[in-house]
Amino acid sequence: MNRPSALSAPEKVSPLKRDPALLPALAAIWISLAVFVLYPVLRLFLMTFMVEGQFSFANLGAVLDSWYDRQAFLNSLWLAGAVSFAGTVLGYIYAFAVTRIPLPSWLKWFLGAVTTLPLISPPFTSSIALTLSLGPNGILLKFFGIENFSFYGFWGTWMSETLTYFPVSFLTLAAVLSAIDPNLEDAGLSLGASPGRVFRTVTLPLSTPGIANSVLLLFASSLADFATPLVLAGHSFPVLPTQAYLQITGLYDLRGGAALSFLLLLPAMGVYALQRFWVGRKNYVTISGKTGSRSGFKSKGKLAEGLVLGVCFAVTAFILYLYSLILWGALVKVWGVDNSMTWENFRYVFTHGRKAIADTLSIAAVATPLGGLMAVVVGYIAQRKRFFGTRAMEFFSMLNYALPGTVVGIAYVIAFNEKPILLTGTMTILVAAYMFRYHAAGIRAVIASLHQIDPSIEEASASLGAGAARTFFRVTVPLVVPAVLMGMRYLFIHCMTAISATIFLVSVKWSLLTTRILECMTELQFAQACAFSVVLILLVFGATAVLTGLTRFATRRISGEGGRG
Amino acid sequence: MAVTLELLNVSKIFRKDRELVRAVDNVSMTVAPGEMVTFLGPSGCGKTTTLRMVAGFETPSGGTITIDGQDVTNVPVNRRDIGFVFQNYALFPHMSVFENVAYGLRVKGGREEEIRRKVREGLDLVGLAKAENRFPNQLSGGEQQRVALARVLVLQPRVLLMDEPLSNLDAKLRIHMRTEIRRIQKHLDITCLYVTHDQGEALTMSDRIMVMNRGKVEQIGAPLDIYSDPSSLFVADFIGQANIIPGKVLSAEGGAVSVSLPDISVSVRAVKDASFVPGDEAAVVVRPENLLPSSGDGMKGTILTATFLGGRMEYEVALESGRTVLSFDPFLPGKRMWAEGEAVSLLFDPAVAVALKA
Repeated sequence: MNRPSALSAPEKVSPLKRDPALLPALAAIWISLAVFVLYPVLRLFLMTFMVEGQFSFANLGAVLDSWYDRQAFLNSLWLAGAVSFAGTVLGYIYAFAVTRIPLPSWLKWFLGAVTTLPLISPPFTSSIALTLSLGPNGILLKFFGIENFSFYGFWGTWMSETLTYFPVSFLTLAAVLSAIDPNLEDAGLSLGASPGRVFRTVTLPLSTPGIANSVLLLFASSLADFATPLVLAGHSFPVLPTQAYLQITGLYDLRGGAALSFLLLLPAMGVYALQRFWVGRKNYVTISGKTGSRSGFKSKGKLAEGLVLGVCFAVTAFILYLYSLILWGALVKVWGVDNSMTWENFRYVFTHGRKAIADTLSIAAVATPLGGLMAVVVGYIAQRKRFFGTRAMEFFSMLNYALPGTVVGIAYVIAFNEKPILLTGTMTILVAAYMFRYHAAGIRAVIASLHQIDPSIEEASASLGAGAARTFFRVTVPLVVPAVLMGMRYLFIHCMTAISATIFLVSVKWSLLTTRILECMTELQFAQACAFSVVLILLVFGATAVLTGLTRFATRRISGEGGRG
Repeated sequence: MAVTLELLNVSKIFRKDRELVRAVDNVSMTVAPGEMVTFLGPSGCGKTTTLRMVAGFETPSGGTITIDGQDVTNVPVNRRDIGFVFQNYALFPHMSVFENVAYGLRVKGGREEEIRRKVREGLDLVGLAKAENRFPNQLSGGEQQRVALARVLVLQPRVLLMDEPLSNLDAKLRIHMRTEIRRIQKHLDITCLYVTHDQGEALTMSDRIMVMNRGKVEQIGAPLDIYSDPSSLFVADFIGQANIIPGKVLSAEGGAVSVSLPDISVSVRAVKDASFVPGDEAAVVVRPENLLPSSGDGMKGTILTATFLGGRMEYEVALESGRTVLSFDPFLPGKRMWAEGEAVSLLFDPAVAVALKA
């Protein structure tokens, strides 16, 4: 304990000396980042470019010479472009409906709630439901009497990915649109512009940073998506992530897989750089600043409103239909053949799938708190302690998140399959893969929330005699708890549902629910796949409900602008 | 027991856009035990940076700061034994009023009953005894301000530092809190530094004022001296309202100078430490309440605007030289009033005007 009366002799005070706890924390972070982020990526590069101890483009050349692999690269880009366009349009329509059209609040809540379904579901959910509807013998095809329709390939993948990822665009754009002061639109109207003109000249230009951000986010998501194309793309429409997966698991060709994932890495890093240095900076301006008093929303014209709401309701109904199909599929004996109800599929899940459930839950239970802790420390140092290396630290802790999951998975397989760090088949490798990939959301949330908290709150604590550790634990940590819980919720959801990186890392000892679903799909056990999905969704729902409740509780305690005057 | 605070050649140099900025430039001053000194100046003049260096939030680039004879220049803030009141109060939003006030006492350690007793005393002192279970966001701005004050006072700091503590309050409450803060500061006999950009606050509250501009000290002195004897045009203009009338020195003798102004010649006091020789350019500082309109002799001008303010008339007058001056004429029923466009003569009492180097 620091006694304020004990004044020591004058000394030079560096940031490290002021916070004696900083040095071990920094060391721990850098060591873990070196092992689980830098080292695997380095090994991936070495695997791609080193042939028999020599630097060489041979591996990359082999991939580029293959017509099929080249096609996969172009398909990936084309698919990502199409998904990001369609998803952003859909997301903008939803965001516009929720933020700009006077709707009853329960309806807004309902629209928001339906869009969170794809966000917290395992990646196969919409693929399974779409297959049941539009695949061979699909019920929609039967219903409309369509024959000779091939759903596999570009269209199926595009549709499924758009439905899965448009909620991301919705959340991004809703935040941007609600930050635009409606008074600006009122000003446009009062100057004589029609609602359509106001939208074209005021609302749309002001939301361009959000649109750009959404396009980039969806592009990256689609580029990295592994599960959907694996189920829906088929052989006629190869994409890079699945190609890399098949190269490794089918042909045991680590070099080819590494080269393919390097090809995938290039556009992904381009998108990441654009986001960070272009959109990220632009976006910051719109968030700050107070808005004037909110005016009521003016009508945008009956036709436009009807069109927007029509699209929203149609898509919402389709999402609900897909999810009820999953539930129904889990409850019938044999899909399309014997439609009598049974609990048999759930019994299967809780007997044959018990180990997968237990494994997935324990991995998530270990990774979530660890990731939360890491997010607090990294976020705090990045936002509050600006000195040499903090920028690099922030960059590397976000790197695995920016890389496509397939790339991370392949890098981990290459790095941790042999000494000195042999981790294949352990729980550690799965926990690390999830944690270093998905703690990024927590770090961002912590940085954003520290950005909001005036440093004078911490200075107040210091001026009242508290040391750095006391200030950190008694003042800073309680104030960022809501942000950390939010980050932990994100991490937990992805520990339960993400598959792209960890599909390479599962073993006999540690299996995952998502890989079980994939096995069911490849063995055409649709009923069991549905039942697994239902159980997984319910588990995620339960856990997120608990974490959301905790967040609310924590937020209420520190709500308001108390310390900010 | 109040302590002495001393700043010796304190400087702070920031690097901004690859250029060095001298935010604080060689500031030296001694604050006597129990004295209240205000740092006054426009925004960006370095007053807050100076205060933050005394607190220990910033490390000086040069110079030393001593409290009670001990060099504290490199002592971390949490071991300086100072109390700092922030402009935005910086109350901990996740703690009750009681816990906010108890925070520093708990750092020091001590028995729980002792802490409770001191917290209650502190809240009593600021008149918030009943609010101890509430949270900061349930309090009004003035109440938050008092909690922030109680939070530092219960620690009995050796020096109390306040950074524009009243700037977020409404006008009426601000005037009430001025007297309240001054009363408590005198009652506890505590050395105090107070940063403000509000000259009214500085004039009413402080024992002495330090006027700063561009990182440098312009003048240090008692409010009365600063007002009546500004040592620079900046101070004259910044404290109160001032008419600065240029003229030529006719003769200088001791503390008095004779200056030729448009239409008149007057003999006024020369500012301290200034020596004039005949022929020098000089600026005579005349407060508007000392510049009265008449129809007799004086500086000739034309009324630009005439505003009735209840207690007085305010005239804006264009002199024949083109310069615009302000004149405040106390209002009494039946008194002669001038209208816009009328010709007028202005005269002042030379005894309360002062001549500065132009």
